[in-house]
Amino acid sequence: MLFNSLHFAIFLPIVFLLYWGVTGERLKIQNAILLIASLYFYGAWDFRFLFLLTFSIFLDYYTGIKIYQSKEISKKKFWLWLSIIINLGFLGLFKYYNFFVESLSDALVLAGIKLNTSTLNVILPIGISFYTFHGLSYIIDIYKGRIEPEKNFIDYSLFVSFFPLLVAGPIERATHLLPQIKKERVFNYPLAVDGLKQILWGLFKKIVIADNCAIYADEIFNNSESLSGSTLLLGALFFTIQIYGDFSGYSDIALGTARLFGFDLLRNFAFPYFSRDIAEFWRRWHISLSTWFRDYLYIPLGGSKGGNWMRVRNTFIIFIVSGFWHGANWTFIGWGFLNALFIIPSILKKTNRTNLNIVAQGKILPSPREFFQMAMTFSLTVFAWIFFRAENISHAFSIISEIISTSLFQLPYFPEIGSTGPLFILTIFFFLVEWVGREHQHALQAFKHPDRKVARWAFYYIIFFITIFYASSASEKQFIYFQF
Amino acid sequence: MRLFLKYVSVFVLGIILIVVILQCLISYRIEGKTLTGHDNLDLTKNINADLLFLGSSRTWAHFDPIFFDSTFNLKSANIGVDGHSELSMATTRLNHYLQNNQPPRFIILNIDPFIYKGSVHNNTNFLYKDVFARYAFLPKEENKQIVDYFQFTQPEKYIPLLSVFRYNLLWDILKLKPGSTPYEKYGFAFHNEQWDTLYWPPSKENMKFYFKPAHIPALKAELSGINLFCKSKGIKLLCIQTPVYKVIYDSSAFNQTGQMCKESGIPFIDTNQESIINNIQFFYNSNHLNRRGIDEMNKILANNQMLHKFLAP
Repeated sequence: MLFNSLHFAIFLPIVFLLYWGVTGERLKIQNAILLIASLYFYGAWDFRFLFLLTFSIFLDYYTGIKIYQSKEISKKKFWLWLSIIINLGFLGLFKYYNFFVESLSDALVLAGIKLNTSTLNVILPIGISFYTFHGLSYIIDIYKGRIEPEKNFIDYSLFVSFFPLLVAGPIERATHLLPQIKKERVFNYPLAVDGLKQILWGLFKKIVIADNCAIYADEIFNNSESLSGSTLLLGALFFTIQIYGDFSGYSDIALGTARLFGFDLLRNFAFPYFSRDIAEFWRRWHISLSTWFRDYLYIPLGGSKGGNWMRVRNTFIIFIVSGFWHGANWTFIGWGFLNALFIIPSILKKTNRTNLNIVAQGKILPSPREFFQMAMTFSLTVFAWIFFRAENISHAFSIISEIISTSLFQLPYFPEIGSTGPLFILTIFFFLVEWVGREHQHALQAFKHPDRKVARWAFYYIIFFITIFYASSASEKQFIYFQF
Repeated sequence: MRLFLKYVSVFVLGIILIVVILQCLISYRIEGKTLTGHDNLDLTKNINADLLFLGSSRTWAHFDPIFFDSTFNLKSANIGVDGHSELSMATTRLNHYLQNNQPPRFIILNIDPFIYKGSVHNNTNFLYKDVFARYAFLPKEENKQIVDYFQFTQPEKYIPLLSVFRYNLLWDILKLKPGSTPYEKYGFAFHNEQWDTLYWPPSKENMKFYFKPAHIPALKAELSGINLFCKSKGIKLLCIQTPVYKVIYDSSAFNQTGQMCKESGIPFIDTNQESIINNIQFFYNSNHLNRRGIDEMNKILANNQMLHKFLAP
């Protein structure tokens, strides 16, 4: 079920009313309602993969208890590695098997050996990367003694499968979400209202900005061989805006939906395109994944404690693994590698924690220096996204070589360029609203002046109608991160 | 919780109110006008023409009412529908016309090897559906057949603004055409341009749309049905086959249409003469004449005794 579908628009109010309408043993029933709703939400996409999800839940629930109960460290390790191997085994089978087989085959061909290989014709279960990481963080935290295992199976199942975060995150931690699941929840009016605003803004980002940018980005990337450098750069810009609108839009809808049910999920985006350096960008982009890799990979590898060599090595490892997490394609690895290259200088110079505050905090405009820093950082991310979007590495290099040729100075042209005017205006509006709201959890939180109710409502209506306008005239498009 | 539900309800009511008001304003603005020229259902009300042109885009782009009015001293109108070569659309469009006008004295139906039977209830040709979406919301009785023909959904019929948004009509509604061209006045769309053969090189591609021998019995039955219907209303029916460029002209296929008309008891005129079909200057694409081509075809029609006899008072 997609957040931007009529199905979800009917599903959400029903679950909401059932959830808050229960009396008696409130918490148990509420959690059961959410679990059933979550399984329905997931099963609406493809019920067959419910078995895989259920197996993953059983596995981590059971191994979590076993790790905790084992007195000997060797047994604890056994259960931990059993869970890790099975979890990553499923992920590897569904997501990476074909990639490894094809890469091995290609490598052997280069060495003059022809191998008869067969790839699997499997569908990637939606959200597998996300719920696998939920489960992994849970058992690692138990092994490290940070948490005790959850005894209540329903509560644990809800932690893994809570529908707002099930298919594309944010990647939650047991330390953060489980206590909320266990705690009695009372309806919180400001939280619910804020949730609705966040959902509205998320839908706007996805349907109006991302889906429209996708039309032009796809057009340009799919016909890149016949287009000028300036047009390809425009295509990269479209994709840069598309992926932010798509994924942060999804996250806003997820967080907003969770708020309607009284939950506060981990923040996933903090206005990353207003970052002044790459390190800041990575503190603001897909935060739940970045911190996951920091806590469960970077720090166990030694983090920043060792010398320069160790820091450089660990940085490359987490960025390349992060790229690989996105999908079985060398383009994602290239994207991760490139980001590691961008961030290494600041790590070596120890300037990676320079910009911890919000840009131009308390001011209307950034200083010229801040503006220049933001523009530079944005340019680097646009460059890196070319790898993320390209079909393969050679496609990415062919686009880059055209961009750095003299055709960069031609006027951009592609057949649909004449129809980009409305999107251009809407994108400016979008970035203005994001800029105004950058000191808040989400952009629309900035619009809460109690004396300007009419203006606020008018503003919400405008956003709503623009969103509905684009939603009605286009088919429902899947979120990019569903494929990861 | 109550406060929350109250405000959500107020917000939703606000949406409903705005949507209804906007839909009313839009309906008022487009009433009796055309957005693109194709949507001429309102424009062909109460015109009570003597002669009606019926068929596909080859009707729509070939039959100039001004020429017929002056040559034959008649009042004519063109209700050809672009993109619809199926006879089921021709009959649907005719039914709409007859609901809003006196029956004409004559109907000229464009016929060629591109026609096919189609189906009123299970239509599969949705070309230019967006053009007719303006009629979808709360369809008037007279427009219901067209709305059903394009299979507009129940939500599109009953949720205000949905069809306007879904079919991207907002911009057309805002810039609304003044309705002063021959196309908008008479349903006739002439093209002045020459065929851009560099962009669209002549090809036999369109020949694949010729009807097949197996379709002929059904087409004959359909033509006979139209003829009977016209007779029941006191309308005289004539079929005219308009020219195509030589690359897609196959005499055996184009002769079959004449044979079908003969067997259905409908008089038939073929204007595919070598002086037209061999001259690329008369076309703007392989199966549509431009203004020069139409003038050339009109010369043939002006000298056609059968047509004079048919359209005689």
